[in-house]
Amino acid sequence: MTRVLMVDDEPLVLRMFARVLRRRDIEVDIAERGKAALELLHKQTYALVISDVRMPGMDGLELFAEVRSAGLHDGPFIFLTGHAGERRDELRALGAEAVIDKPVSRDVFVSTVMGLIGTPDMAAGSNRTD
Amino acid sequence: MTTQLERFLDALTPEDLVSRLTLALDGAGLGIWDWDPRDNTVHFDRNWCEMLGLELDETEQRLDTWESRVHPDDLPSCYQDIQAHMEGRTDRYENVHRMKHANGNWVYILDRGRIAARDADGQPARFTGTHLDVTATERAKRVLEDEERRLRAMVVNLPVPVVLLDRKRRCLAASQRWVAEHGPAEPNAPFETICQRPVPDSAFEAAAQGTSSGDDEAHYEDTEGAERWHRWSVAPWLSVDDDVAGTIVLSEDVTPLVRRRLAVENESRLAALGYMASAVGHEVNTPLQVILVESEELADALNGEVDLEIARETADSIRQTADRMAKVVGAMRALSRAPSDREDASTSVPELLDYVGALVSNRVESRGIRFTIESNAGDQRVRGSLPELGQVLTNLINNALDAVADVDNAWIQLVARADGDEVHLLCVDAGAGVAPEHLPRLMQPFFTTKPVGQGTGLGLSISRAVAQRIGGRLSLDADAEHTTFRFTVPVGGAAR
Repeated sequence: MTRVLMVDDEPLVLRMFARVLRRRDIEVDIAERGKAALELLHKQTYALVISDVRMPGMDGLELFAEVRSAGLHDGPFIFLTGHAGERRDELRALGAEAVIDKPVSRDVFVSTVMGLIGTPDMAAGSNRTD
Repeated sequence: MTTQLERFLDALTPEDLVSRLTLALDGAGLGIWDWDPRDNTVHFDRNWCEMLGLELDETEQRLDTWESRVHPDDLPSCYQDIQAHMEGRTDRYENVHRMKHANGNWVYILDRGRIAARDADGQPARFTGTHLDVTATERAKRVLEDEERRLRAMVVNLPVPVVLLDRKRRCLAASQRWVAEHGPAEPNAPFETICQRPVPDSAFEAAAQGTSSGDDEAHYEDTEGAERWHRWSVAPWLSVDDDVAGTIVLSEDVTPLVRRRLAVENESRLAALGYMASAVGHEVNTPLQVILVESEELADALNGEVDLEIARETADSIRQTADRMAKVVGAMRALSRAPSDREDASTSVPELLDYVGALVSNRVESRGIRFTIESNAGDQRVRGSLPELGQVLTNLINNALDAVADVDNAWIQLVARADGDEVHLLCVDAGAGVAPEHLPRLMQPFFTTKPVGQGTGLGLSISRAVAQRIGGRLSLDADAEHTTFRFTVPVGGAAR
């Protein structure tokens, strides 16, 4: 089954989106902090990482940089942000596959996620072996 | 019946009498003169001569001896008084005048006398009297007059509007600034007629008991009905006997100052509202996100597409998010309350701490910073309204938030400590304190160390203005281990 990682410091939002995706037969791991997300990424390979930008401690940008430079996740990455505005281009330039502005409707969220994990060569979900 | 005194006098010889009289006159410091106005011969005694530094043997026994030594400015008044007595208009001649002492100084002489005999035509034949040296008394009188003039000059020229009142609240003297602000203040004018601004009777009553009122500010309307403020105080002044002899009243128009301060406070409210608006933007966005998605989920549940368990979770999620918004809205409402509601306001410490906690804990904790509140102030009430006190504390906490942004295991602590008639509200954070070079400008408006766009630099100066308005203080504990801002607030106000 496809497995995605979702990171957001707002527990309400995090649990809600996880529930929405699980209803669609997607396995979802959740983390409230960038550091916790990194720990999960060391143990597990994900088809997709969805991360909030503004978080206490390690924020979404730092997480993204760390993930890419350490080669923990080469698959698609979605930034979720409530403060996108002028930073949208910046986030895109970093190489994220999508930037979603909160608040986002359920259907847009789901279709963005589905669009990214639907690509056959990215739909990996196996345990890391190294 | 003969008295003891009569028997005693009878026993005396005339020589005894003269010697006793001389002793008595010596003791009283009196000199004797005995004038025959018909030929202007005068008999002066030794005391009279010595009082002016003269030798009795060398003194001419003539009126001119006296007259030539009287100060020319004083002589006319002497003759007026002598004339009045000679014409029978006064019972006794009495005059104080200056006379030239042999050493060249002027001495003040109290001169008193009476016509002792008249001739057959009714003309004075003998005019006798005494001289008393009253130089010391006159000097003391002049010193007093000088003192009074000096006091008046000081009151008149004081660069504040003050008026000196007697015990019955009548004007003794007023400063020029008083006259400029309040109009003329004639001597003896009752206070109510020279001051149209409100000064409470209770302040005068307290002054009568010897207690000064502190500086206070009161609100009033001028004759055109415009809103004005004055700073006033009433202080007692004491007589030599330590009785309250009157009061010194200050009443200074501080309308421009107050207007400026209100403007700053208003600006501070706007700044706080601006901060709030951005915080609210964030606070609203999250609930909005939850409601947006959960309503779609709920619609699915109604269509029977998901089971009830999920629907229940969905509904619960919406309720939690609504709770959170209600808290934020409550805090905003308190902040935007009009300043006029805040006159003489007081706030209970627990209410204040709860309010600040509700306002900031989300923001603090969402950044992974530990936030604790500690109080030993019980139900104590302090001066100031909930929004303005809360504003100062949230300002301090916002600063602390920025200060600990890069600190591991960061924490912020809000502490209330009762201390006599004050309560100290401390905002302590894990940060390392304030750089010494920033200290002098710390509370100045627009001083900020934050990057452009992150801080207005108004927070601390506004907070300090608020602190001063309610009679409190805002300071930085220089020697504390962790950064500690201390907001000291006077205890006050009854529960409303």
